[in-house]
Amino acid sequence: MSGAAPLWTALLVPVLLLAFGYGAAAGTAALRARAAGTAPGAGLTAPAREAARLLVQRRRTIPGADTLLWRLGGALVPAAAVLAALVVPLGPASVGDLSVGVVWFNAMEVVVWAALWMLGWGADSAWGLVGGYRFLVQGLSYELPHMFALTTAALGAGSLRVSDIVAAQEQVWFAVLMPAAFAVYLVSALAMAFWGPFGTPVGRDLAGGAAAELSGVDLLVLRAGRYMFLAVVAAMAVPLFLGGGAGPLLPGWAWTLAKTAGVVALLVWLGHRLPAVRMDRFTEVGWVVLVPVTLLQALVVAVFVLTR
Amino acid sequence: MDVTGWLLRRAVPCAFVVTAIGGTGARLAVERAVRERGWRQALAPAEADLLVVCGPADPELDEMLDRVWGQMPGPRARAGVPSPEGADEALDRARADLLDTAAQRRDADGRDRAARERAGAGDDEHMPGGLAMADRGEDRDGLALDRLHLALGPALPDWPAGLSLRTVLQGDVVQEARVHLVGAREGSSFWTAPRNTPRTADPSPEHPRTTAAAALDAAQRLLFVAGWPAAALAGRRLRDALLEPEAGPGLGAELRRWARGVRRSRLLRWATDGLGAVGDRAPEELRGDATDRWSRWLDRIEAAAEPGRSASAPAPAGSGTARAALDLVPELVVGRELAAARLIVASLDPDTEAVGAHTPERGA
Repeated sequence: MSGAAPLWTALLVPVLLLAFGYGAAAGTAALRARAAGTAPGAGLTAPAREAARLLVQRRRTIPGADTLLWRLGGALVPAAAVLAALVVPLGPASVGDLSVGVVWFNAMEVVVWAALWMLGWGADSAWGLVGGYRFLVQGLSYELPHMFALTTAALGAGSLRVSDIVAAQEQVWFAVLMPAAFAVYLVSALAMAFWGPFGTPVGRDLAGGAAAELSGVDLLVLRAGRYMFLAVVAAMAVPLFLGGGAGPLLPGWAWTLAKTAGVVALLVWLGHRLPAVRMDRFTEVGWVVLVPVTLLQALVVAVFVLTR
Repeated sequence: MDVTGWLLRRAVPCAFVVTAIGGTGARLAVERAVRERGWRQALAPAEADLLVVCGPADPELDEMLDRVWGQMPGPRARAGVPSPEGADEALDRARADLLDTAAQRRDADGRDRAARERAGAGDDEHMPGGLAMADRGEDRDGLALDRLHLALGPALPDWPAGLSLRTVLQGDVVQEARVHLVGAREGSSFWTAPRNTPRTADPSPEHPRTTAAAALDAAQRLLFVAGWPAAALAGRRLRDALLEPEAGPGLGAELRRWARGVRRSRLLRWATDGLGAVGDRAPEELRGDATDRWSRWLDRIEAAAEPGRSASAPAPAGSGTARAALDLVPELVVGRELAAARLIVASLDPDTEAVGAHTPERGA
């Protein structure tokens, strides 16, 4: 059930990511509208209307800004999301079923580190700079547990190829076999999309942080990219932990889409229910609690693989 | 086809709201109108298209507002709301200005021309963008790091009216801080002035609904700073409901449910525990850490939600508390990371309208 899909499906990737990203943004807006006591239905069109506003808004030029880095930083986020999605299988096949698919996914996610730092640094603004610092600390805190969670899934299948990981889950999903790795993956999914409780790099207490000086289409690209990234990390949870396209009755691609929608909905709900995590406090948890937990999980899975 | 006009009509406005000292009533009216219209509130001038100024005009504040106005990319419109009554009308007018594409194009052309003339005049070429470079100083570990001068406020969302905290940052750690108040200083606190209290049958400042609304206002600000917009928005909605002349049915139950949800949040406690600890010499309202302070607000809100217990509700903080809070700010934020500093200020919540002619201490 492995294989590369025809090349034209690469065009489908940004469309699907945008669709899931729009869904996440609309869901968030609807939940916010309900909390504010207005009609939740208005939330469904809110992202489109905000996009209309930002399309009309003028771009800014800032004295002393490093314009190249600044503009590039925002554009890298959606680009990284699309590139990361190339290894995510939709049903049986992905656009590029690399032998090191898991590593490729991880590398694209680290591109976002560079993107946010360039964005914060390039704007020549104290708010942006502090936002950039925050994301680097966030990266240092979540990246190690996240990598061990990915490693554990690869270990369970004995391969870094995403289709092999899906194939290894024929009997039992990895979410059941390695629940701690799955939980850590979901936490780091929010962190790498700098969204919800991990949204402080562009947070309200920093007047927008790394995005504080952005306007118009630059801001639109960053926000859309962020939701696309949230969609791609949710989509990657499906082949890694939720059995990929496996399921009764429906074809594989439909199960992949349905499971992805479920993970996106879970992340949106978590973002709605939780306040922000202060990064100076989370770093300690990341290193002292999550790293040992994921290492133990990897050990348990390794023993299981050896004795199977 | 006029695509710009078509998009503009569909766009939801995004308002950057600045509150002057004496503008709390106007701010409440504006926040309510913005919420009910489903508009958004901007975090920074760069993303905003409306500048809404709540409260009386002041020369020093006006000069700062002009700089904020210059940072707004356009299309842009400006609304002054000196008193609560004019909020809806002012927002309607600003929205109409925003939709006037011909005027917006003239504004944009004028700014482009001015920018070209400035560029032609030739700035100081030694500095990037004609701006001074950051100087260096030793940080707490003895490393030479850039010192950035950053003024927090008065044009900052979820921030006390008219407060400007002039900080020196190294990295994201506050090294020095001093308090400055911008704006008119006569007048009294919105929450204790009888003329301002809600249009209830009993308009005394000790009315439990007034004290609960004041506590909710402080709590929603803290929740926004703590990065929990869903709870903060619900807090605003309940605050506005408390300020109505007649409480709707079920408001008490809803208040209790909201307060319980906030109190139970372990993440929120974890974010605020141990922040800005104040000893027993301070007024009772301010004692303990940030968690203690917001827990007391929730107590007040819950007291108002239960009719039987309402008689025991304490009055809102007086001028003595406000002055003490303002004087505590610099020493508590120095050495803290910026996120912690903002939570500390939000938890002290100095009522800048209550301090009168008090001059804040120079600070650390």
